[in-house]
Amino acid sequence: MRLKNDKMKELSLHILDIMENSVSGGASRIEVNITINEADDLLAIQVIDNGRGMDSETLANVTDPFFTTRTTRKIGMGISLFKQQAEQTGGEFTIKSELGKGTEVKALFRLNNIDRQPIGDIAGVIVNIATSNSDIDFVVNLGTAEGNFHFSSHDAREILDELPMNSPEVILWLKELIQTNMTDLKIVN
Amino acid sequence: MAKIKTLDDLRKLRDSLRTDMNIRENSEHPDRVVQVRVAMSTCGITSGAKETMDFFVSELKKRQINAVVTQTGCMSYCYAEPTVEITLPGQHPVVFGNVDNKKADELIESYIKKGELVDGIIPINHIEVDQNNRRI
Repeated sequence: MRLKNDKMKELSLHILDIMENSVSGGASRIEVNITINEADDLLAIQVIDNGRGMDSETLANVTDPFFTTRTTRKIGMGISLFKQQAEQTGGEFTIKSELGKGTEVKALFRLNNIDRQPIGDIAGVIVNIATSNSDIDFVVNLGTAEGNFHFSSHDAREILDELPMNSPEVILWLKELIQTNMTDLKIVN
Repeated sequence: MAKIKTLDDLRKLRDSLRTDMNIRENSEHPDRVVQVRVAMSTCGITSGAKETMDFFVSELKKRQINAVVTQTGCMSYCYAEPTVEITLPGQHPVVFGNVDNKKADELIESYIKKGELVDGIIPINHIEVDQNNRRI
């Protein structure tokens, strides 16, 4: 069954969606790794959390759009949409989870495939969710042929000290920090 | 100033913001902060909630309003996404539905700045029921 997706138009929005799952799963640490490998025509996105994880039955059903653990409605499309995006570019999608330990979502895309969605505003997505959940440690690793960038919300929090992470000034600074580094790494779309 | 690139740059900005914020706190109580929460569920994201969040962040800063902006998970008003909850200092939270950038602008100018209620409020005791009249 093919899902109609004309709204989650950028990979950053899928990443946002998956990260919100990790937050709902009670994670205290969420790691996002994005690697662009031009030589092998690969874009790899990984979201790893230490939340409550899923039992094997839930895990077996998680990529089904009509399966959800929510009680407010019957559809949970985030994972299945992301999986479809990866697969339609000729990539792969895997999800591993262990109850009490956490969950790892990994999506591989053919970088230059015509159906590969643009990356979008990764800096914005990460900063919005990190500043909204200051009790969670967010770790981001971005890698391209130009180099690597590592960001830790924990380190940023320490520097900011008593300044609220969710004030607009701070949010905009952090976005600029990540975006500047992404531009240096030549992560465009 | 050159682009912010390192945590060290952040440290310098922190010191400058501390000065600004002290000035603000001397003229208002620290708890006089407006709180804006944007629902960021899958249905929110597909309806443009991220754009709404970004709009509040940049506009509240531009219009120099003492506020904090966060995103939350599903508030379960899927039919009215993007939804935004605004809590004015000392008041109950109010949830607004269908908040695109245009609506957000109105919310800032009318509700946040003047306390004037705007169309599109979702009552907080709103209950969703299924066809058997059971609460969802």
